[in-house]
Amino acid sequence: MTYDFYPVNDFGPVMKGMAIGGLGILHVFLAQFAIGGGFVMCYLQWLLMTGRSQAARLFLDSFFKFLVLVSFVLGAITGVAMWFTSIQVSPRTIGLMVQSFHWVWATEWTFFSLEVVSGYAFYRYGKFLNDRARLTLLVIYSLAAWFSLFWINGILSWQLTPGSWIETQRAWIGFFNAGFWPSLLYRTVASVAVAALIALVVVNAIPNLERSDREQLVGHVSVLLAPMLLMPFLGLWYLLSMPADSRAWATGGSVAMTMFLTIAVGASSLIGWYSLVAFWYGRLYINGATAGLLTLLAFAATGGGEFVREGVRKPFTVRETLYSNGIHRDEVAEWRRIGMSNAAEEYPLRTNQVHASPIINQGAIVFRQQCSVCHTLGGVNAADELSRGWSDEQMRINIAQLQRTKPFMPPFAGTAEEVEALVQFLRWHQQGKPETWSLPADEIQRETLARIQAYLDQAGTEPSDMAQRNAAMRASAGLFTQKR
Amino acid sequence: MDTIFPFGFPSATAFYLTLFVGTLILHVLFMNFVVAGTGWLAWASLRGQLWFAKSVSESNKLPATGTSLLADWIPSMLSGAITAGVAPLLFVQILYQKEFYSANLLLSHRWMSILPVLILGFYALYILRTGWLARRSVWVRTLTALIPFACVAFVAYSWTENHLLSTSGVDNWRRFYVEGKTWYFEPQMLARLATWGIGSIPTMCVWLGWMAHYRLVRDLPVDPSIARQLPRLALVGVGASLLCGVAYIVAAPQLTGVFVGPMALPYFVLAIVGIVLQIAGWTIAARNSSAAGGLPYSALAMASAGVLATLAGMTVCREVIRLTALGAARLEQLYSRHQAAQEVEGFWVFAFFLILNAGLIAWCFRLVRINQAAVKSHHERG
Repeated sequence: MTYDFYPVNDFGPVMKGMAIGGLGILHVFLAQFAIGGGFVMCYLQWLLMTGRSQAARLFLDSFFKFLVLVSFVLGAITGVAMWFTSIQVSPRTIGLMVQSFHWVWATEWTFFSLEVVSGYAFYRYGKFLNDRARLTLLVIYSLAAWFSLFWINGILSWQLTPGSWIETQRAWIGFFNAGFWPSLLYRTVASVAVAALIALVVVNAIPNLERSDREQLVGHVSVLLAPMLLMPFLGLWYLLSMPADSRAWATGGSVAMTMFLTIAVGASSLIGWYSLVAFWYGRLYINGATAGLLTLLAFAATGGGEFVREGVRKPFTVRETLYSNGIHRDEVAEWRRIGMSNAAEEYPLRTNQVHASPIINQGAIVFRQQCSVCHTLGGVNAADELSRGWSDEQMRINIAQLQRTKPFMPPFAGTAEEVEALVQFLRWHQQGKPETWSLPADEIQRETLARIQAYLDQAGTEPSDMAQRNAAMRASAGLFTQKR
Repeated sequence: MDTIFPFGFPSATAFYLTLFVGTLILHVLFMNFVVAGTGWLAWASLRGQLWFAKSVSESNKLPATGTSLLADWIPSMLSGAITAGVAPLLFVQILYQKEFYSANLLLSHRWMSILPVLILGFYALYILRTGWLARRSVWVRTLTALIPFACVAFVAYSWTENHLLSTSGVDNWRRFYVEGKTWYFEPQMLARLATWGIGSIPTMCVWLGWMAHYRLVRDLPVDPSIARQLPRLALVGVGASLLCGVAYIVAAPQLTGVFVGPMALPYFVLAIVGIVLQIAGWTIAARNSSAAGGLPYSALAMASAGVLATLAGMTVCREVIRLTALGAARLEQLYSRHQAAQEVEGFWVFAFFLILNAGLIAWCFRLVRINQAAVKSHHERG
């Protein structure tokens, strides 16, 4: 088996998913602003050319400056940062994504280049160009920005719904997956809405603009919030395109997922309702503070949505292929046979992480390789806290049968000795990391390992199957309802 | 490994190596402008010569100096450098996935810090053009102008560090990891960094030369000092980078064998031919510059061809150094991955959109050019 071991870094109390998730939310929001911003500007340039808004020219120049400063700097660098952070969190995942879709990424790069050139051309020379040339540049910019979404959307939605790519490994089958269109359309509408809200902030921030001009611009920009009416249908379509177990997760199976989905839906609904009321009365003025608040709500909606999109993939980062901890589905059986901790000695523990007892060291390596991508020790989602109330035997069975313990956990990829090492490591950590650590007599240990082996064999090496996962979700949702 | 680059490798490996080097050259063209340009701005600020136009229309009215052209263009060029850098960043992951990822992970948060540093440098470049800064004290202005250079220098250092660590091998990686280090150093590092850093000056001079040239074509004023400054600066840059190159070879003597080896020799010769062309071009330019600040077209073209040849030659040599350091055994393990990557669908879609979007990019330039009359009349109206 070819398995590339990579150095694993400790993020301290911060869960690695928080690093990639936080950055991802910021980047997606900025990218949506850049994409929707193009459409907003095309629309206003068209209004200007058709004589329906003279104030649009002043707005366009102010808005585009803001867009360049935010999107071309922060958006571009956070885009590169996404790659680097993905490498830090899960090199095997990003490696698989790059290997499978590098031509899609390369194609996206050509659009990204076009977006930057047309954007800077407008930024530098827009003031001096005739209206037709301005509109042409804006249309090129908008299409380039939207196509960058088109390409990356295929890769991101593939992670959750790879479909028959799993068997064929054909890039286009993976790219045009079940989630592609609903996700693309939803994100397009979200982009326009985000950009329209930021545009409302900018309209209120432009100095020396008459109140009547502001009102006119607010009215024009608010029109672009109308497509939000489609969001419930597109969101539902996207939800239906998800695998059943992932959908169950988001709709009650997991408290965290459901809560974040509620934030996304709630925040979007608030923005939508506000816009609807504004349309209904037709004369509602949105001031800077309100626009700012609505933009924050849009950020919350983006954050909630992205959290759910990332979360419902578990236990996989690429569904049915690669687990969250970077272990391939096909590799688990082999690691069960030969054990991962010896092989992982390619990168031994750091000098300051070496402990007195060999079994604790082995447990630390198992934790590093299999758990640390989602769990910390003593920080966010801390493994020692999650297992503190368990008895030793409970801990053994729960770890050996991880995929049964929680259907969003991958199966344990190691031997019975490694399960026991992890149990001892967690217990040692829970007890304040004492300098010495004694183990039971050999005979008892042999019996313990035999029991763990039986637990492992019972659970098998496959993830909890769909029906099992769904049943577990329903049970968990029912339990949640009962508790409430 | 005993044939001219990239022909000694299996077709898939050769294909990705060519794509990587080709896109890297494009990135370096922009990057050199930014590296040398931020250095120039820092130097100008220390000498109290910092002044910038706040808008394109204002810069069009005043005679352009090297400093004003740089301040005007450098944010866009940094954007260009970042955008152009995406493609080689993609192909390096196909070619050397384990090496690249391992170095990233080993340098950890130290490596990741290039991102906030880049953001800081980028915004500092924009701040340099604001009226807000113009109203601040000389100290604030000077310090602000030093920020982009400091940030770019840090990013350049970190990339060099990352690159050298990625080629240093598994045993070294293991030691580095176990000891919990986050800084990597080799004796050759500073000389290598200086060779590339100072070598960026002639590229920047070529860019500035063409910018001045096209201003004159559009009847926009250019400060005559540019025609004196650029050839001198470029020649000093070429000479100093050659000296640093010698120091680099002294610090890493194995490089001599690589440069004159079968894989790199033709490219090394190309780089030297490029240096000769640059020296000739800039010497002619220094002797024949116009009083209006223009550089002779043919001399500028010759220097530009020289810069391109040197960049292309040295970029390939840089790659050959990496390939040699990895060694045949390690490379052979990578061949199957390159082959698998080449079998992935999508190349023709990429090729189609590459051509289409290159055409659209050209069209954007044309749109702006054919509106030059409008720009000019706007300028004349004041």
